[in-house]
Amino acid sequence: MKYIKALLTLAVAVGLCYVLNRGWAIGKASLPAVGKFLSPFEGFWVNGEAPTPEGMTKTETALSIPGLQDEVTIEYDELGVPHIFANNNHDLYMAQGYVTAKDRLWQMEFQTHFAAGRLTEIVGAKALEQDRYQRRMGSVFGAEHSLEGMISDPEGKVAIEAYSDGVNAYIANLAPKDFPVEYKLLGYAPEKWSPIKSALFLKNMSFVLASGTDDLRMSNILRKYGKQTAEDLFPNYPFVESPIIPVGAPRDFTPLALPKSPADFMGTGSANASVEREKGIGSNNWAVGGGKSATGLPILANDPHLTLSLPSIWYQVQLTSPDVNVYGSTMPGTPNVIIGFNKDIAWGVTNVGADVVDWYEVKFKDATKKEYWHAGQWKKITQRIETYTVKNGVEVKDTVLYTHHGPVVYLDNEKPYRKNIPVGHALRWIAHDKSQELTTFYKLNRAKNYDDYVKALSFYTAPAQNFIFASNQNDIAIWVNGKFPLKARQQGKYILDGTDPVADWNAFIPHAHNPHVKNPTREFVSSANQSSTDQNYPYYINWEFAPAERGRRINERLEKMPRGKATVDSLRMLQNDNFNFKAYDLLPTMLSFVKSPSVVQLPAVKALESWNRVNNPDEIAPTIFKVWSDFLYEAIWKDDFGYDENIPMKYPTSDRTLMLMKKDPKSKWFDDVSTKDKVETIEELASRTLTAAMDSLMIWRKSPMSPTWAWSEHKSTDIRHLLDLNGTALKSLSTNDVKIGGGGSVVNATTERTGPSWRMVVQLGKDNSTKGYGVYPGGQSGNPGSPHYDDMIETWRKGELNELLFLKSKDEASPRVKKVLKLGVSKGAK
Amino acid sequence: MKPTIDIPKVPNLDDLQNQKNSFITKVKEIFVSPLSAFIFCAALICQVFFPWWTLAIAAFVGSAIFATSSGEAFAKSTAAVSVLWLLAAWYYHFTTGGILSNKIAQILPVGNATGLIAATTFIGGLVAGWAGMAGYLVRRLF
Repeated sequence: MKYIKALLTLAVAVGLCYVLNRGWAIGKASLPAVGKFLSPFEGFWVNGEAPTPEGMTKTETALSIPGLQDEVTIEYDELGVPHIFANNNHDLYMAQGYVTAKDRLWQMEFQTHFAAGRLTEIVGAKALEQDRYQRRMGSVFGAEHSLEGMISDPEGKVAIEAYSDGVNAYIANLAPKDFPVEYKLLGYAPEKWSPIKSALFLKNMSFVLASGTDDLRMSNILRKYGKQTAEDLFPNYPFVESPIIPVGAPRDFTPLALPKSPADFMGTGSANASVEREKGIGSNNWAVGGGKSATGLPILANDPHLTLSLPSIWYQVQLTSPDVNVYGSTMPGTPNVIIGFNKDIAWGVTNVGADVVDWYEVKFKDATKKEYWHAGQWKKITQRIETYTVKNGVEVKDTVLYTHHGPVVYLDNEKPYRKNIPVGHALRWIAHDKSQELTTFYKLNRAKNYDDYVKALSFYTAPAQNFIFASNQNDIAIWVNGKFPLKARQQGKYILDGTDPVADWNAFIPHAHNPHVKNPTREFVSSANQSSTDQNYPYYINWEFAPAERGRRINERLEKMPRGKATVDSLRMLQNDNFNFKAYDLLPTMLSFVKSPSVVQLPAVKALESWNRVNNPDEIAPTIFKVWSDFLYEAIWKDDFGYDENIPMKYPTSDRTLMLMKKDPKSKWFDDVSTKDKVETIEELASRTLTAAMDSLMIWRKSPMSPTWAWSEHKSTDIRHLLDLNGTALKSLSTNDVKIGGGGSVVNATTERTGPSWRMVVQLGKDNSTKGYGVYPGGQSGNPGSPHYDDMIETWRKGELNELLFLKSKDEASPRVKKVLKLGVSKGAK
Repeated sequence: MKPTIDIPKVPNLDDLQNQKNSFITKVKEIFVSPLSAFIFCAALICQVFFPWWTLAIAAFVGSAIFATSSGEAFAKSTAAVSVLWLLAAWYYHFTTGGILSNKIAQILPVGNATGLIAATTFIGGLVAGWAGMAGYLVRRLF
């Protein structure tokens, strides 16, 4: 009896330890290891950080790190920005890796697992489709090539390897109780870092910015409506535009001839279409020359637009070694400053949106899919086996077929060419190529003048960016920069024939021929993802770019800035400009179709008519305009281009739709073809959708038209933690309902989930007087338990900028330096 | 036969006092005693250097050495570790201004930060109690 009691009690005790020491999935929810997680000795409790007391004197800590060649001093300012002072570049990048890991380790690992298609290892089987997509698109394949390119540059090799060593030096010192809280929540441990992860991270930017492709959709449109309609509704240049390279800019090269156009190809269409790029993603940048600037030297501004998340996408750092002193935003995962300035120059980027993603229809020999037809012969397919490790050890294998174009991402079984032989679509993507992006940033960090900048840009492949530049030698410039395939006009707008060698990418545009302008007569340069050039540029980059509204507004405002008056503040205010050009263009036409507003419509019409077209947070009209214009857009096009989810298409642009409404109001396109016995008119659609908008808003906002319809409330900008996918279980780690105006086609491009992820303005100056200002919606620390997790959001929300602390040397005394970390050489043997 | 008369016992004020005292004394004894002190210190030292579940070993060993009944082992083990975890959790919550605890309290089904501290206290005590009781019962076999 005694034995049984003892044994049972012991079993319960051991059982409790076991059960509480691991995570459990309960239905759809999962519980962390409760005992471990709640332990106030190793659980989440120890991740909380006490706030720094006011008026605290500078504290200093010393650490020795094996692998450093010399001492490194890191000074942290009041926002937690590390200012690194190293005596050689190896130590500089090792320190950058170390401090970035110290603040953002979990984010670095999570985002590189995402890029590598390894999320199943962290979150389990639910991520399998996402992982498969990443790998089938060739993200790992591309990263491997990239890495080859990066380490072929000796300086780049040192940087990327030292960075990796720095991250690993930090990880090596971590005991389980020191792990970031997300590791504790999900129940896993950090993995060693390696240079391939930096490459993966950079490739992922290509994914986010340069994988937007509509070829498959456009081909479906081509098959249904024919070439004439496709070209009419999807023209190759917008009706209203203000291109990045201004009209009339001089050309300083002799263009090569374009290749012959491949024969028109209809193909078999596709039931798959890669996800359309998130529309809010893009960016703004501009620079005013000395003539416009109050100081006589240029001012540069940049705000990249990405999905707003916590931990923040960007991480501010100052990097100093004998050959560099640069400040700016970095991406946790790769060395160097990506957007920033040094004492002589400043630079920034916006996405080009070039057509560097092309789909080729593959003709397989037979159902074994071992060979495919190209240039008059059967060629061998290469197989690459991808293994996915689902959490808890289960392995899933996937075979990806590679042609010389690239991977066969989709196998369409729906409409085979010949029976039982699926049609494949292979992807040719610039991101698969060997590349040296790292060299570009390495050199930009150290650039002193325009020539250094151009040299740096020549190493860059993808994702193509509009690199803007300003120097204290009074130069401003912009280059539409990347490695662009030399194509015939509109080659790649539709799916290409994978058997036709004329359709391949056979050459690239020489770097010196990329669109560019230096010190234009209008005394400013700018870009907002709109058309790179006017229609006279001799090469083909893309048939469609981002809508022109932001670019037009920015150029209009910069044009109007009087000479000798522009200041940092004028540029900051332009970054916060809420003018809605799209509403300005569309509303007169839309309202003209609602001639006698009903009782429900009248308050809306009044609000819209009296509105000044500015998307300020408290305005109601932007809400009504957004909902109405979205409904109208759907009502016009859904029956024609959105009627079957197995035949994905896309809608004509807002610019084209407006032209249709203005020039051809009786167009057949306004008829809803799904109503067989009725012919709708644009007036009917406009009226019906306006009523629907008012009805919907009453339901969504839970009240008739009132201040609860305010734009910032309806838009509800959320900055979500990377794990907070639905705004539910992990909501407390996110910052929700940020009260800010703006919108998708507005210079202040803040939408529900996307927005300016970094805002920077730099005033160039001579003799070490360059000053930078910046902010991003988050904080330097990735730890939700740190006061630096989200302490910059309020400044960002209000449209303000922090003055950036740009130290000249580690001995420069500044009251803003709060903590000093000295990394020393390890005395013991390695 | 001698008649026996049952004289009812008049409640003695001192006895009542003693009963009440004995309850408080018992409770005091649970929290403040050689066994609880031992477990408190041993669990503290274990958890600073080793994983959290070593607190079970501390409770097991302590009860094996000092406990005289399974009830005492359970009660004192639970008490010692509950207090340890309560103080430690509260310390972090207070010094950080609840910056993380308030957020975690929204993620777990505990209501608020107080519930979170209560849950922490409960878990620590629960594991210790069973481990302590097991320690006593296993030692009793030998």
